Amino acid sequence: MTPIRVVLVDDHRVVTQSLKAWLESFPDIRVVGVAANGESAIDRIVEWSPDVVLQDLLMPGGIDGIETTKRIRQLCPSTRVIALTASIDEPRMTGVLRAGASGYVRKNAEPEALVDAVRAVAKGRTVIDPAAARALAEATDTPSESLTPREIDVLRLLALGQSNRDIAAALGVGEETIKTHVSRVLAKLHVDNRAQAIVEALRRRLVSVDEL
Amino acid sequence: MTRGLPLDAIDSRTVLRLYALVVGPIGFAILAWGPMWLGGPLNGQPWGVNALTRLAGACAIASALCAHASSLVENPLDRRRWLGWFLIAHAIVLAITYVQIHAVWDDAAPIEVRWAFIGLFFVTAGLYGGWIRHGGDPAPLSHYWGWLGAPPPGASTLLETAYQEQMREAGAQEERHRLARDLHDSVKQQIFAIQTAAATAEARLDDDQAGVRQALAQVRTSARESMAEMDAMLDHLRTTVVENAGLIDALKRQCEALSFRTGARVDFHAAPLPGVDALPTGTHQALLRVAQEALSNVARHARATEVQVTLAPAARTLDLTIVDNGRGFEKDDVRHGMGSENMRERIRALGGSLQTTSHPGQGTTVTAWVPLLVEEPAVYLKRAFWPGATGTALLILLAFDASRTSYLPFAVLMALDSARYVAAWRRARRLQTVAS
Repeated sequence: MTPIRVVLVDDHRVVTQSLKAWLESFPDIRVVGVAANGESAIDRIVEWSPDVVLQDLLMPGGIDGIETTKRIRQLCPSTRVIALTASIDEPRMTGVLRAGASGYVRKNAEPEALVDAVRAVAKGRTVIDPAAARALAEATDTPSESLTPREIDVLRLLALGQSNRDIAAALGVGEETIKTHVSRVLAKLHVDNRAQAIVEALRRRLVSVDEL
Repeated sequence: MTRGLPLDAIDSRTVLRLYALVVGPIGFAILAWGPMWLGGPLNGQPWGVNALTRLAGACAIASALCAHASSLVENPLDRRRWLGWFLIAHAIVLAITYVQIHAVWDDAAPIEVRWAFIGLFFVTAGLYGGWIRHGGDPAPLSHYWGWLGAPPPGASTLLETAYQEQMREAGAQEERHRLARDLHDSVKQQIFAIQTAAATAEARLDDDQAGVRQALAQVRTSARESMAEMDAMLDHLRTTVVENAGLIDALKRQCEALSFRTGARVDFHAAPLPGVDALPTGTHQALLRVAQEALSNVARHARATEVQVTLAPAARTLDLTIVDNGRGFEKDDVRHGMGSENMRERIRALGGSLQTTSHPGQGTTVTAWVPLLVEEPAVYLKRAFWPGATGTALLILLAFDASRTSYLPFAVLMALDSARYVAAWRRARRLQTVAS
């Protein structure tokens, strides 16, 4: 099995240092690059071409985590981004998810949760810290169209972090069908990506925070 | 407040340089050819008119030079001194011109001309005096009025004290926000590192001795650094830093914390400081706050790799300078938050000045100057004597010769100046009594 290629972006030296040592304790993860700010990460992202970028949301000076995520996604569409942050900041969280992040993990989380998040996101799942999701669900308040029962099933499974293939297997239909369902759900919810769909699922109480 | 006037966009230094550029050559022309224009002794004019005209030309040149000098020096107290000389030279020019008008009109100048001239004198004296009061800061021009009767640097009136109080209240809120931000930016990251490194040690326990040792070293380093950062933050919460040693220690802790937080090399240098008596009350506290704010900005925005913090006395001031080699900013980019405004007010309340200079890609320099209180109360009395005596002499002259109403504004100015110093003397004496 090829290891998951990870890049760390954080302006705090101690954070990247300790994270590198921690993630490399696992044979299935390899840290291929470390950057202290968004600009230097973007400069070398194509060269590194990581599977997952673990990136701080707040970085001093220059471009912030949201912009960094957006540009990484543009330069390297196959790379997935996890926002790593020391606090819950609802507008920023919405912003980074809209920019295309696949995960949102707080620094308060256990180190093991971080490894799990890296593995899950590398598999195409979406991971949102439960406490952050709760804050987000309470803050979101946009009207949206009603979903069909099938779409609700899809959204529920999607919200539980399953990939299209997982959902297809669970519902006993083809992956293409699920893709169509997912894009229709996203359109109906007026969201751009799966991460935001999860928030919407929480808001509609299709899943509870504890299930995540 | 008249903020927003187009005048506010004008930097006082530019005005001073413009003044020097225009008035210098005019002064030279008057010095060289003035007597010819007015008519010399050959035309039957008294000799004295020639000498006075030349003196006016010389003073105009001197005022231009002083204006230029004051626009060049950085230290605001030196700038004040140059502006003082500038005002004196300027006043002499105006006075001579007034006398000349009398001579030219043969002591029968129209009343409108006289009053226009007196008005001109007051307006220019108020305006330029305002610059002296504000140390020639590049502040909006609309701040420069209302100089007359202002206290000398280092002393604050009751009104200013009340204002300071208000600023402190507003500042306390900002202070708490900054503390929260800093905790989040420093100690929380260290604790994250400790947690992660401890997990690493655990995970590698069975088959990676070197890795475990490295992780444990990380735990210890982060613990030590977060302790230093906590100490620096506790200094924010303490309300009193009253002695020099306390200030220097606190600044050292701030510098150390910054280097842990950003990885930058932070050099701190403190020269031997003047005694506590020579500094306005609250100097230590204000300088520490300025350092905290400036270093916090370095950590949050600058991305500097080298920072220099210097605390050293100059001839008339105690200077705190914070220089970084970071990204800098455009003048317009900087958002004047309550924090930096509060710092500026604190330093200004001590009679000092705060200045931030920065250019994109060239780092940022923050300098605070606090004036030294080297003067004994008696000095103020001595200073009050000359304007007082001159004013009185002018009034006596006026009483004997009622036609010389032109002396009145000068006498009033002298009296006001003298009164300022008497007030300063009383305040200084009271402070001394309180201190002893």
